[in-house]
Amino acid sequence: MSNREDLPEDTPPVPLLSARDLVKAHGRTLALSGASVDLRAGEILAVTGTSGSGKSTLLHCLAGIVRPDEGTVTYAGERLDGLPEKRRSELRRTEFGVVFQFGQLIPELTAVDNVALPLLLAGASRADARAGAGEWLERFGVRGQAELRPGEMSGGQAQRVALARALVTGPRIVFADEPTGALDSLASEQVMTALIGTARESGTAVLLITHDAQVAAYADREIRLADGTVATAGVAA
Amino acid sequence: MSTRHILLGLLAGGPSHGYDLKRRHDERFPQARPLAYGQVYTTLQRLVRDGLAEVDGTDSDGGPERTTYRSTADGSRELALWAGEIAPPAPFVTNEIFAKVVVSILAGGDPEAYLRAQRAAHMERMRELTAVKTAKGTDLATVLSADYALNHLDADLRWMATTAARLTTLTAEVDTA
Repeated sequence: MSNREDLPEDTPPVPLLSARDLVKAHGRTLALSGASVDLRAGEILAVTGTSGSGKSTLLHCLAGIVRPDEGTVTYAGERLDGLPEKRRSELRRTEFGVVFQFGQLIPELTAVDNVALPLLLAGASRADARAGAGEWLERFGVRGQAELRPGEMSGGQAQRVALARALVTGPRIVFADEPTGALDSLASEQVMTALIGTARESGTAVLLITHDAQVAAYADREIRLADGTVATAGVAA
Repeated sequence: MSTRHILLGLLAGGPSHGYDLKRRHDERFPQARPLAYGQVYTTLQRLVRDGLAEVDGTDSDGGPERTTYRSTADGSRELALWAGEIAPPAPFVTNEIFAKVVVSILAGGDPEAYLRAQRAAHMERMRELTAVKTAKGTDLATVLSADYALNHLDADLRWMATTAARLTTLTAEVDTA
């Protein structure tokens, strides 16, 4: 269950991640035109909208992958939008996990080595990193694929390995951009059940970008983007 | 849904009495309306009358005496015919959402606001169904039934999204006319 449910009812929810009035242009195209959104600790939030509505750009701004042209992004009380790339990159390694439509696993590495990589970067020994990675592969039901390379796995298995890699460092937020976009409905269900089940167990917040209503239905809440702005309330009332 | 064929299907596994058939029906079809006992017994009597089922015997099992029924060879043939029959691909165009949008356009109302509110209600129901199907220990019949409902709600949503986009085009046409 999400952390916020442990709070007394009259406690105002404090967002873990908060964006206000984000504007971002790609060349002459305005991708975001004043989007505001709050993500609370442990919350599963779906961001939906048609192609070109600004969903992925919003994720990139919130995860500190790109800086917005205007507006603010605050993570745990710290302004993210003004931070130098080095600090944002550190946050992405330690506090955030990111999963894309195509898992972006390293093709030359086995599943277990892909998942062990963030732990190695964080300074773990090779043996510890591989052991930690093995546990996460087990949680996502892909332990049997540990020694396979991404090209030797099904799309659903590879995506579960990518999720294990995103969660292995114990991030507070997982950003998932169309994580089931390339999967059939049964594989999509397995990936979503694994992601949401694990996030709820560990109290990890998830920002889930999707155009698929059946995927969005796994979330606690949905915001819809249209023309670079939030069409339904993205900020807690 | 054809109750007589559902009962014949439940009898295909072996003789059974009315109470047991009702219980198994309600378990197998959790989203369907529970069968009334009266309906089970009337349907069984009609099946016997039509030669599709027959009385197998009585069974008291320590409690009140119950009549058990079994399917006949004709019953099995009838069931196989029905199970293989193609259901008419229903056009589903006469539903309430469609009617409300059309009326709203005709009457100069706010179909966009209606579609937004309807979408939110659909999403809420889809979240409930997703929670039901992903709960630990959910049986397969419940999962299949939730999947069926989710896919139909999803189809509604896609239609609503396309319609909302067409409303914008329609408004633009009216504005430039």
